[in-house]
Amino acid sequence: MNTPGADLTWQSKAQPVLDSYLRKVGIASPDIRARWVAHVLYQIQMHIEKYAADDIVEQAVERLRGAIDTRLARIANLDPLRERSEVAGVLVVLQDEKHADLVHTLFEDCEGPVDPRLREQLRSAVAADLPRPVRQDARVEMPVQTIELRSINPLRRLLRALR
Amino acid sequence: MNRGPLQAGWYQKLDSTRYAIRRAIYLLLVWLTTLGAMVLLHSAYASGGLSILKLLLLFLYAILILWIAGSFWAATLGFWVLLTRFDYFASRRRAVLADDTNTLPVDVRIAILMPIYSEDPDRVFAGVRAMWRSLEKTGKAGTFDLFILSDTRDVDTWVREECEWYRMCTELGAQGRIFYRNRKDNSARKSGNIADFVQRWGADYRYMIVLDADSLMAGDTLVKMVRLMEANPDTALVQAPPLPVNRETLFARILQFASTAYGPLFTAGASFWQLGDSNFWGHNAIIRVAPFAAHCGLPQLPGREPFGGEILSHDFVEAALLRRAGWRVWLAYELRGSYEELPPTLIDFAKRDRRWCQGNLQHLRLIGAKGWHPVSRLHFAMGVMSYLSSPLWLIFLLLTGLEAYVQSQDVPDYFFGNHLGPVWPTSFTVELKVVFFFTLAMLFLPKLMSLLLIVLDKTQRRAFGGIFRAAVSALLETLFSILVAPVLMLFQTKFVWAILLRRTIGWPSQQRADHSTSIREAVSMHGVQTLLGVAAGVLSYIYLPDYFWWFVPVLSGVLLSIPLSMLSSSVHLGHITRDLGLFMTPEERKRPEVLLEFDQAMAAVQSRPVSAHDALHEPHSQALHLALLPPDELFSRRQQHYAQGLMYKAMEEGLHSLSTAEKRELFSRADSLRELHDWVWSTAAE
Repeated sequence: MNTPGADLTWQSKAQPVLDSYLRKVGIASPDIRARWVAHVLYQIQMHIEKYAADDIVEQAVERLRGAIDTRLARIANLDPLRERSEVAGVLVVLQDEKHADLVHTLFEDCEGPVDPRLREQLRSAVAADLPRPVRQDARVEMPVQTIELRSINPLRRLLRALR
Repeated sequence: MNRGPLQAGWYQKLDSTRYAIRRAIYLLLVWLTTLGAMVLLHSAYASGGLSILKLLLLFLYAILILWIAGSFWAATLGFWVLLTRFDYFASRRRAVLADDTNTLPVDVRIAILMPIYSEDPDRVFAGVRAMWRSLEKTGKAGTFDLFILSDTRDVDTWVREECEWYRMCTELGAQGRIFYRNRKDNSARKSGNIADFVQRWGADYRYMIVLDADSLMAGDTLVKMVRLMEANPDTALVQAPPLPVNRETLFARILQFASTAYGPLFTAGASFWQLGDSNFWGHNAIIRVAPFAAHCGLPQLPGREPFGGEILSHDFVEAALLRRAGWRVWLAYELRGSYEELPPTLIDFAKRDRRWCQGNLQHLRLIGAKGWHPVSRLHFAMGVMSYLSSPLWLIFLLLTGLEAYVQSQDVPDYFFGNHLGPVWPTSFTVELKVVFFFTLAMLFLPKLMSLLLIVLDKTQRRAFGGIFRAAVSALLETLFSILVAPVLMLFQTKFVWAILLRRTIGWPSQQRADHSTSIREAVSMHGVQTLLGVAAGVLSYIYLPDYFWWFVPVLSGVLLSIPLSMLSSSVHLGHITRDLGLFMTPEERKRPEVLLEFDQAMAAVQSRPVSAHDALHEPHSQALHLALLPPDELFSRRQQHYAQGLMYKAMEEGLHSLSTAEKRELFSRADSLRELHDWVWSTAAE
């Protein structure tokens, strides 16, 4: 296996991708982005032996996305694995420009403890802007109706008899 | 089970005599007219004995004249109603709406449903924005929720719909009020889409207002419809007749003018005799959810398509089922603020007809089914006849030509029997001419009556551009309809023929935006028609020179179908006629508030095309798509392998290598999408 340990160019490849990804997520501050990139690269480096050189950048992106989801899930009191679509919803909300300051505060830290005030701010942002595709189900039975078509069989029988 | 009538409402108190008198008047007029025309034609044909050909012609004419007389008398009664404003039932509805104390109860919730299927998201969401803003101005928006019920299969459009929906909700502050869902399985098409809503969320709502993708309704009209329903507990459905708006091609402008000027006559006339047994037009109607759920679960018809399988034109059947269960269905022809859009070109119009034709012919099987209200049977029959009349007219024209040829071959015999002198043949030209002009009068008089109504009303007069322009527009429209009618007759005959041969069509989405017809498209659609026209013209000129000029109006339309189709699709010509003040409608002259909102929303459209690729690449689009996907299902190992296979195919050969169904499958799996997302980003580093 071509292990990346011998060749650190993977870091120079991954770094701009991760930075760009974080910018797309809405993190405007270069300092914060650099902190997150470094955090992810460090984690990859820690377990470098597990990865093939070919997919190391993909692993880095996956780690970054996972880290973002985990951070958001922690703040929003969600289960990052079982409530992934809810976490995705939170990410959608945060990408509105009006929440730029909140994003800045939320992502200032990669893993640190969550300030309860931050949680409250996020809750109100989510309450206002969470994409809610549908209401909760309020089911009604809709029985299939019977339409009794008049058969033309008697006519057919008559014609047959005449023949 | 909810069975209507529920309780004594004011509609309930009307005496059945009113129903009986109105229907007796209408049916009597229709039958007497048909009988009169038949007596005249029979007396003309009876000379020289009735051949099989003549009998066949009489039979066909009887059906066709019955159809025309029905339409003519509906329009005439509508004219009378609109002129005198003497309509007990409409007056009662007006009284309900005029009563300002009659507000909406706090516990009532209404869902506005917009089913869409691969429509242009810009148009769809501009319409929703306009309606929502209009609704907010009424101060009653809190009572309504709006559901965009997507059956879109194409992933690019699906992703665009999601992004547009979210942007719109954020802009309008309508999160949790305007909902979006994309149905995983689009079985039973539009009716299945609505049924899915009713089954999943119906319990939350007393009413639903069903729209089409091109519908627009003023907020005030939406509120009025709810008030009408609240005042009439025995009514399950109120249909608001939609007026066509917004199109700018010449073809569509002519049709918009015709529908706006003449339409009210026909809707008022239909309402005159149909009363509480009216029909559902599929959209722009309010429906009481509980009886709809209880009685409108559509079955599959036995046999295979096109006559069996899913019920295509579900609206007629749903109205009939509601009537069968004892509920009232009303056409509130006096309601304004209800709009739709027309197909922009003759070819698009014909394509829409193709779908409607199949749905209506399917009703042939339903006419005789047990348990329907007699008026529901009439609705089915009228739907069938609106398409079957075309081949019947064509056969009638061909047989008339044949009969004329047979007559021309007869050598007159002036000396026969015991007569000493010559016996001159009796001329029945007068009777035939009377029948001919009688038929024409029934076709064109409603246009004159509409014009008269416009002339008599000052506001209307101004709204249609003044008496002169309205009259010129009506004249030009009449000429245009004379030319287009035989073209549509040939199209519809072809459709009916294809359906009788059991050729089905899919569910193609409609081309709704203005666009011009290319020469290639025109030739491919009208080429055969033109050749048929040439052949018919030559044959009639050679073999029936005396009758040739009688056929000219029919032949002209067919011979000119290619240039007619192309010219009428021109937006430029549409604008020129508008600048000349021709084919103006009140909605064009003074845009109602909801249409102005719509114009603003369309002008603000940011045409950054979002596609499936965005849901793979853009974290925002992807997160939104993932957030909207239904909860993860448990997939079998085989399904998981299939999804993985699709993912690798997309990685190696690109998204474009996947079919629509494969792409959809891939974009329905959160795990596959996440993996692809990471992969797409990692490839950016290479």
